[in-house]
Amino acid sequence: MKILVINNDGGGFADYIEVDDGTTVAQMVERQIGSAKPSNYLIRVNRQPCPADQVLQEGDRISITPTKIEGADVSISAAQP
Amino acid sequence: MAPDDRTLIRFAIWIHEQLSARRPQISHVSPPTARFAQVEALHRRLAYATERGWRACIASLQSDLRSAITGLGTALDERICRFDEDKIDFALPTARGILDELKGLRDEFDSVEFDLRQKQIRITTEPIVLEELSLGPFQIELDFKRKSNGLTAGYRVIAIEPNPAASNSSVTHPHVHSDTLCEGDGHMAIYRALASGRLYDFFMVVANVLRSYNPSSPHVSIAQWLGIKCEGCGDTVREDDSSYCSRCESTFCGDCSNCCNDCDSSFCSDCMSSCPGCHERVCSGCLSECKGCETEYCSRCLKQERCNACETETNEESPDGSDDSNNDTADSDKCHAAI
Repeated sequence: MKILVINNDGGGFADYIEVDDGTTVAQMVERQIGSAKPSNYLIRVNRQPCPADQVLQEGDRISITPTKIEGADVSISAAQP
Repeated sequence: MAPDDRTLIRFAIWIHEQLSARRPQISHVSPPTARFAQVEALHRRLAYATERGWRACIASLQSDLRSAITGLGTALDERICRFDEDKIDFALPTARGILDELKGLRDEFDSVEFDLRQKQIRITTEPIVLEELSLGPFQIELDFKRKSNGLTAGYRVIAIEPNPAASNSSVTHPHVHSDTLCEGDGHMAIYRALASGRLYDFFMVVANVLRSYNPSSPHVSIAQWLGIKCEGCGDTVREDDSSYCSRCESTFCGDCSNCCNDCDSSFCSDCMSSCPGCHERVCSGCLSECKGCETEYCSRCLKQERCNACETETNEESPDGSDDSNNDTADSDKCHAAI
């Protein structure tokens, strides 16, 4: 089945990916963040908080957003590529 | 249907229209023109060398050309990947998708305002506290009237109960200056979220940048937020009112720093000395030793590297000392006469 994964860590990419039926949120998060701590991320499925063992469904939207995103004193105007 | 939901639907349709009307942007994936040019140049040189039969040169150029073509291939592969990423990310969301984004915001944040008249979405964060420094809540104002860089909206970050840095009232957060967020690591995530209409992600990322502190690159560090501590008296002062000691490089308030009368540089009291001749405060670098008594004096109190006392003593020791110049004049006159 296909789900939309939005990884707001780094590049902030959104991508539709194929996953096996029965894949849980925890498994998907581990696949995306590797060895990083899941507690350092806000995980949302269809923009709602979710338990780690929730099974993903076809068409789900899962977003992974770091709780700490470091700003920097650089002259980057808002929303400039 | 609640009136609030109707507003959301109208707003979602309006945002969708704006995104649909947006002109397609040139992809950020630029062609590897420099590498193309390098391959072409090497190819021309190889043809020239081959024509003239320069064997050693041909071997070297063949190797260079092979490396250049390999580099070009790698660059093209990289661009294909980036092109695919851009293509997916900038897909146009449906009005239904945007409505879900707006509803998600309402669920995620306690305070959300959808202002269709002003074409703004405003969310207010909880009071932000960074390393025990309370900065108050911030409003993230996404304004669809502010279009920039091909995006349909721009944004501001406004301190609701500002606790600005003592040294700069425009800095309301270590990473916010004049209501503009220095996005740092969140830059691409913010840009992509806005470009693809993922408003929920946009607000989540901006809010999390506000909740974080990067000590290596703030406008004003948290340590200096309330001002700078004077190393002399311990008082806290604005950065503008402080000065550095040119010798020990510590920071001092105006009362604890002094200006050297000779070189005009700032020094703390410990790094200043007093000239025994005029009793003026000068830095140790501006004191010079008298050749007579070896005491250190400021430049104004030394004449021909001697202090007043030693100079007078020298003059008294040679009774005709004051007439030396007269003798010189007499000698000079004799010379002129001889000529």
